[in-house]
Amino acid sequence: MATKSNQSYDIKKYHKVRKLYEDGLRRIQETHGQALQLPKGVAKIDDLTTDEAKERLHQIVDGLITQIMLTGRPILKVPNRSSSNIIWDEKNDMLLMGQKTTSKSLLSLSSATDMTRIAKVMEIVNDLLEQNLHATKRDLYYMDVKGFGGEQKNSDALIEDLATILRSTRNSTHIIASAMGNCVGRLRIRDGNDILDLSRMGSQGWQVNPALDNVEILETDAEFVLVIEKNAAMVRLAEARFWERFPCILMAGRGQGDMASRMFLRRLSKMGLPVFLLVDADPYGSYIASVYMRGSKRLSYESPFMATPDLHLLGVLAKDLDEYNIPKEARLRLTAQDKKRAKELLKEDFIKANKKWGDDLKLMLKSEEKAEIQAFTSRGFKFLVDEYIPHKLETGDWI
Amino acid sequence: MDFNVYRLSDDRIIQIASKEKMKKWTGEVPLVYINYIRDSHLKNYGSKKDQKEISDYLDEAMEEIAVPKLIAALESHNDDEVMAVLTRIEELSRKDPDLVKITLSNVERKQHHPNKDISKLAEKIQKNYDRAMKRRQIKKQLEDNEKIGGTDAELDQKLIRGDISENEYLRLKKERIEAYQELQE
Amino acid sequence: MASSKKSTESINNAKPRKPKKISTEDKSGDIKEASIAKFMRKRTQLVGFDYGNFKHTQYAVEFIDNALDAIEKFQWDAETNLETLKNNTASAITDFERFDNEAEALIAQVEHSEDQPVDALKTLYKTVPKILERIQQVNEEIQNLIGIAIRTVESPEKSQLKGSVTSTNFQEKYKAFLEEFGKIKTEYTNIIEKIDGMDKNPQFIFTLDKELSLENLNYLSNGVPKSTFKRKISDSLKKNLRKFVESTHNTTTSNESTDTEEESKTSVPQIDEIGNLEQTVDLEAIKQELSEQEAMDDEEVKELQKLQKKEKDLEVELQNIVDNLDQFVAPVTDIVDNEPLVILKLSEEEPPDVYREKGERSDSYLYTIEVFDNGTGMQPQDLMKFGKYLASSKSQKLRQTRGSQGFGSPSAFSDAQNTTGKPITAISKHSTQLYGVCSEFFTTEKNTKVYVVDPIEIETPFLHGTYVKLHYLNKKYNRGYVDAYIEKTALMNSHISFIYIDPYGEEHFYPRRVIYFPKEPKYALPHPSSIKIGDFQDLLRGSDNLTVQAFLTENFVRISSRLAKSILKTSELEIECKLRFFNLGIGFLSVISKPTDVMTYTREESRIYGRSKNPRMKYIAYLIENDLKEALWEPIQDFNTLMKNRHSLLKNQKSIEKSLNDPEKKKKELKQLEKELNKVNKELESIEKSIRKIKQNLNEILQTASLDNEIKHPQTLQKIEEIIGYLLISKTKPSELSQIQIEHLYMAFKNQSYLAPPTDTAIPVGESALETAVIKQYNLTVSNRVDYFGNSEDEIHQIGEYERIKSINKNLSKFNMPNLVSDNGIESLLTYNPTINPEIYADTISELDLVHTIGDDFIAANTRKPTSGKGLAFVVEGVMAYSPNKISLAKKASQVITRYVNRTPKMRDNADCALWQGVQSVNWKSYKVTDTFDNGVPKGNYVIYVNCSGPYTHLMFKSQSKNALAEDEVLIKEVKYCLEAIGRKLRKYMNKKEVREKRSKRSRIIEKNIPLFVNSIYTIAKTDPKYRDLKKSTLEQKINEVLAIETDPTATDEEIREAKKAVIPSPVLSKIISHSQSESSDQPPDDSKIVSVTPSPTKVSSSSTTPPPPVEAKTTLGSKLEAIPPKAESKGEKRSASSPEVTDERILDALSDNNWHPTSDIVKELSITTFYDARLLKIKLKALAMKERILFGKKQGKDVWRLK
Repeated sequence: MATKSNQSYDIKKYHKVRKLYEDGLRRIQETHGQALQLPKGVAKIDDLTTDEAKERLHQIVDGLITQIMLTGRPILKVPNRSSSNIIWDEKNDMLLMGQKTTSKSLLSLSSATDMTRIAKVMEIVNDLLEQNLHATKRDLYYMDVKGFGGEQKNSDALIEDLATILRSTRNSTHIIASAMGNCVGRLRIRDGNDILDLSRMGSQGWQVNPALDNVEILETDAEFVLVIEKNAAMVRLAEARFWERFPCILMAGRGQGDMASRMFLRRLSKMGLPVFLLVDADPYGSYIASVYMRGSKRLSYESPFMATPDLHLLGVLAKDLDEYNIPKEARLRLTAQDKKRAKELLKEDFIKANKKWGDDLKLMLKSEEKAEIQAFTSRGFKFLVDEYIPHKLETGDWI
Repeated sequence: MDFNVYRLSDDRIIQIASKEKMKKWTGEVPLVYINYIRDSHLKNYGSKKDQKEISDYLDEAMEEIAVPKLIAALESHNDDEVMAVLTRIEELSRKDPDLVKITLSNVERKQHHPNKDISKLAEKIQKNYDRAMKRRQIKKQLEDNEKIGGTDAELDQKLIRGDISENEYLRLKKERIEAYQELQE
Repeated sequence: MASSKKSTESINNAKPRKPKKISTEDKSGDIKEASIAKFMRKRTQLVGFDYGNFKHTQYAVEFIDNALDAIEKFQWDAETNLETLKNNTASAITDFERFDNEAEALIAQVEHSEDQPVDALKTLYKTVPKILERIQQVNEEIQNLIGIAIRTVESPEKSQLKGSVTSTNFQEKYKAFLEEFGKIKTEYTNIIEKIDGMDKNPQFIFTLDKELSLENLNYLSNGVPKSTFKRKISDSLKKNLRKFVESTHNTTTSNESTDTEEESKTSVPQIDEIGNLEQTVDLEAIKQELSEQEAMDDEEVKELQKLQKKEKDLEVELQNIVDNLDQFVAPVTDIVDNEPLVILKLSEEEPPDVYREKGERSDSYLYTIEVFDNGTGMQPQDLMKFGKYLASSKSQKLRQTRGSQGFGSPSAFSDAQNTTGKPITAISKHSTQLYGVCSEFFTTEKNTKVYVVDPIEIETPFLHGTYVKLHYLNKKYNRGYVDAYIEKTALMNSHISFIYIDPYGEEHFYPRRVIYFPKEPKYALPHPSSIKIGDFQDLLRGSDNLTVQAFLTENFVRISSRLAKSILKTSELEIECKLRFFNLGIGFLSVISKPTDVMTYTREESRIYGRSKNPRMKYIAYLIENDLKEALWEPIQDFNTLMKNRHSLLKNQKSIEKSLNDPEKKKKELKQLEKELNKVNKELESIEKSIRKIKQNLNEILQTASLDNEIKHPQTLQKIEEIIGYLLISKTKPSELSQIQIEHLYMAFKNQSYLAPPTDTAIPVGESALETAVIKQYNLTVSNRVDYFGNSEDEIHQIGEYERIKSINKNLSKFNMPNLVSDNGIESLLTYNPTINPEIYADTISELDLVHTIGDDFIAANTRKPTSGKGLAFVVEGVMAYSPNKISLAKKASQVITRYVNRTPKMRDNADCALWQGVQSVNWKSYKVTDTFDNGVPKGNYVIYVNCSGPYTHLMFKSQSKNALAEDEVLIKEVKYCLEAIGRKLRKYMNKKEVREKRSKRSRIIEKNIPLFVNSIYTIAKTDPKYRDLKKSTLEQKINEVLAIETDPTATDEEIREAKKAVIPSPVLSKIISHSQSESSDQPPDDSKIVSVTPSPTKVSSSSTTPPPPVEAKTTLGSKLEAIPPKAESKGEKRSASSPEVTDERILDALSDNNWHPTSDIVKELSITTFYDARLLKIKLKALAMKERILFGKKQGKDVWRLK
């Protein structure tokens, strides 16, 4: 049954949001058709289809066999994922992986075991691609526990190695991350053979399916996307069926948000929809914002597929604590670790380029106070949903 | 562009998958999608004018993409592809028979396809469709019947009150029982 | 005699009583002068015989030390005598040869040419008597060398050739000459044979040639039951049982005493009966001294005489002793004369109760110890003294010997008698004697001997040697003491064989391990800086030199006559200054300190005095007064001032010297002090010079002075003469020097700086002997790098002609023999055999050295150059071995280190011995010794033996018990440097091992991964039709081959680097990147480029049915293969005929049972011994593997091969 028309949402009242939407749509119009311009020296990473991935894997095997036949010494060049090989793409504001590689030889003591394990992962991935199946990192580990030395961290690291060797996203290897995030609101999608309307799937909505290659966005009438860090806050909005009063899409990221959620969010932002982030008012919140915006160092090679540079930090800002006079007792003191992280963030160039963000962090350091999203419930259950968010949207008070 | 953007009269913005995007989809998916939008969302799109604009786009998409894709899928000599599409159509034929109508002619041709699976599947689709049409017909009969006799309880009252003759009552009752039996299969 | 003295005293007591001279002989008075023997009898524990485990060792120590010294003395005397014999008879032998040639020439001439060389025959006639005389002379030389043992051979006295030779009687004379010549020729030929055979004549020298019988000698197993021995004692022997006794001492007394005692003896039960009658016999008061006269009436002797045997018993006892001896020596009869041998047998019995209930020693057992050595043996007269205190064969002059100064065996005998009351049996035969002397005796408190069986001549089953048997009581024997002591002694004296039968009946046999005796140490005169005032005085008193100068030069080393003179001069000047009495040469002047003192001047003048008529030189003293005194006073005043500041200088000198050896002083301060000391010494010298000038000055004055006022007063004259006596040190006899003279002489003697003592008196064991001994002791696996003369070569030399000659010269020089080819002759040989490429040879050596030495244990010895500390010459040497499986893990430090002094092991007081501290001072961590005990001694499978030998080691001990050497700076440093040299070799050994282990570990880990890797790659590849024919084994084979080269323990680093070079860039990634726009650092190689790396492009195409042809990996090994000529024969003469033919067929049939064989198996199978064949085998194996006829594999880093 179609949702009731929502006259209650006054577009004029929230014209600032709509302005963002218009800008987004225009930007898509302009950049349509142009591939992402990457800076020089960055490794080209593709999101491969199953066949493409299989073909690349076989190329690597051909190379290895040739080496063995000619020199008896199989060597693999694995891209170096240490911080020395990370490049900040200023234009697109993304952390990207460079082209430095370290060579691993089967006949050297240090890398003999690594090479054998990478080969094992290649074998398993090849199997998955052949049967067009998906597996999680845990499944990969259990395929050869002894071979991976009884520790999953060994196999986890290797799957990223293989993805970089193939110059592909990890999803291309059909090894998917376990889904964590969920999404609800004004959105219609196809997941495999089913068509889902996320506005009529209960308060938890749709669990983001990590096999994103089987997911298509069909239709939306939302005005903006709101990503919420804490699950508890999401429940508040879900119960209030926030998305009925405000035409929007809600997503719960649970911390930095898992790979699948961030990739899905990027698709939404690629539709021009304005994306807002609601996190706790502490330095870690800002860090999460930076990860959503620019990608993380560890997975820098996947940044082009995960970062949403146009994301806006809606709150909770340090200045909001006083503006919306959150009671003192609901506020917490900054820990030493918080201060250290705040200072580090202030050093980052993307914060230097954003004065409002820098000031807010400095205010937080000065006041030495931080607060969680739930702190608003001290002003009543409905305050967050009825007062805080609407007002912020209306006044365009975001970074 | 992946999405068409429509600005409705009441100032709302709607984004619907564009034809380009649909092209990438396989087999029967565009068909299913178009019907879904038409049935469940068209009416919410504000003014009649807006709705008309969108429904015209949908029809376009139907002719340009949905049907040809379906046909192409069916006619492809790669048995696997054909099988994949037929299984999807067979599913649809159980859930939403009307959508399948367009493909019936092609499906019928498949019934005597050398590949046994395909031919069996095609027959099954035909059977589903026919049964669905028959059921619709029975349902319609039942409706007419209820229009005349009202609900079972009312029918009994009418019989007691003598509004209807015993033969009439028996005929109506028999008709209803047959219909219910048929709907059970 | 005593009574007459009393009467004269009472008559003229009016006269003052003349001081009565007390005769030293008078025995009365309270203080009894006991003999050392009486004292020591009851205190044997002082010398280590205290009840307990160590007592067993102490017995063994005493007799083994003497045995070893006797054996070494025998061989050294033989070697020196042989040398002297050869020198003395050399000229005689040349005469014989010349005479022989002339005679033969004459005979030949006569037989062939019929003419008659008259004058030739004439000269021969003349030389015959000379030759006979020469024969006589040589026989005498041999005679006094061998002694009476060899029955003299009658040689013709005079020559029968008479008259002169003329052409007419030529024939007749010639015939006579021929006859005589025949006899003479046989005569001198057998003399020459005897002399040449001397070094093979066991009577005279150890022949050291019985290694074979030594190897499989087993004392116990070829023992013979005693019953078989019933040696018939010849009647003549029995007859003169007592006869021998008379000849050596005053017959009357001994006979008389024995006869008178005859009856009383019957009452005393026979010795044997005592044994089993279990009656208590009180031995305390028995005494008899064979050669001491005055001991006749002593209580103890009488008791001991009671035990003397009657005739009959004597025979039984003698028979018993002789049979016992025969049985004891029987198992070793065939080597007893040729091989230096020590046999020690310890047997244990339940003691008869008579001993047990004696006080708390209830757990004691009766032990019989029998020791035999085939050393020089003892002359009969020595046998008499054997067992007496302080009677030692070690001559007073010091030599590097083991034995103590005649304290050991006597104490052993006393302890034996104290605890068991049984007599001691001693049999000895000196190499020059015809018969051995056998005796059984007790020792007495009077340090005399009482014979149960009087010394009697018997035939001994050995040509020379000594056998001692005695019984003692001690705690239960257990292992770890005597057997450990013998094992350790055997190791350090590897030129002598040791047999030890312990009370458990187990045989410990240590055969001789080195083929030559160590050099004989020379006699060592003491070095001045090692002499204390006490010894100095004793030497002076005991010296029979006539002058002090002779005494100094003869009794000390490093004192030349010039140095002795200067010592005397300074000492005399010292004494003059001290007594203030100048010896001006022409007279003696008293040196007054104040002008008012009496000044006298004395000189010798010829006077007539006393009873004799003619003038004799006499000291006349004059009083000096008035102007002469004034003239003399002035220089004397100078002298007095000089003496004052000399006194302060001497005090200053002493304080500087004291602070010089203060350890805390820093280097800078020490240098400054030394400068000051030199300054003081210079000043002292200048003072001395000025004193001599003053004396000259006084001399001049007195020469011209007229002297009149003669002093008559006898006392003053006598005093003056006494002082003059003191002044003339150089004139007085050393034994008569007075105390003050000795002190001054000693001070001057000490103040000289002497050269370090000569070090040829300290003889080391030698590195190669040490190493060989330890190798054989622990049968370590050491690759055979010991050259013929037992010296280990550092590396295997390339056996080219040049090297062969060089090494032979080197070895010959060891025995100071001339070189085979003169040095410049060698240079011309400096060419390599063209077919051998030196590089390959080095590779062969390094390879075989490595492969050969993989299982090697570590052995290294180091002998330091002999040095000296505090005037004592000594040499330090050490040997260290490490073997994880042959040497057991040490639980405590004392199991690792064994200390030796003069080759005798020292097992007690380890921690405070200088040798032990030397080992501790080494920083073992830096020599790859991973673990050490907390006292710094290496912990693990190590053994370290340290030996310090020298003539004065008995002075270097810390305490009287002579178990630890005193901590001496120089000694500890010597030990430290010695062990550090060994440490360096150990580090090299450990490094080599680590490299090998690292490589094999690496190959093991990688080996494990190869199949897994290949399996994964293969499963992926299989899905691609392109690889339908690819076989998993070919992939594995390829990788294994490269791995084999890289982890081949014998491969040199550079070889591996080259093998690694043949790597091509990983093609995969660059290929992918080439499609993307962003250029990447790897150039995108296309397919063709990858394959073209090797000269022969082998397109890896799936279509090819046979596996891709073998790709020769261009490694250095490969390039080397071509350089070696295929056919092995080209090596020609180097390959001895017997060495096996290395052919493919033989290799294949060695692998015929087609399972995996390591290379070493094949080497054994083909019995390959030389380097070339081993190298050839390896090459052939590689070639066969390449031709795919055999399979190559790797197990734990070792090459393994199998038939395909």
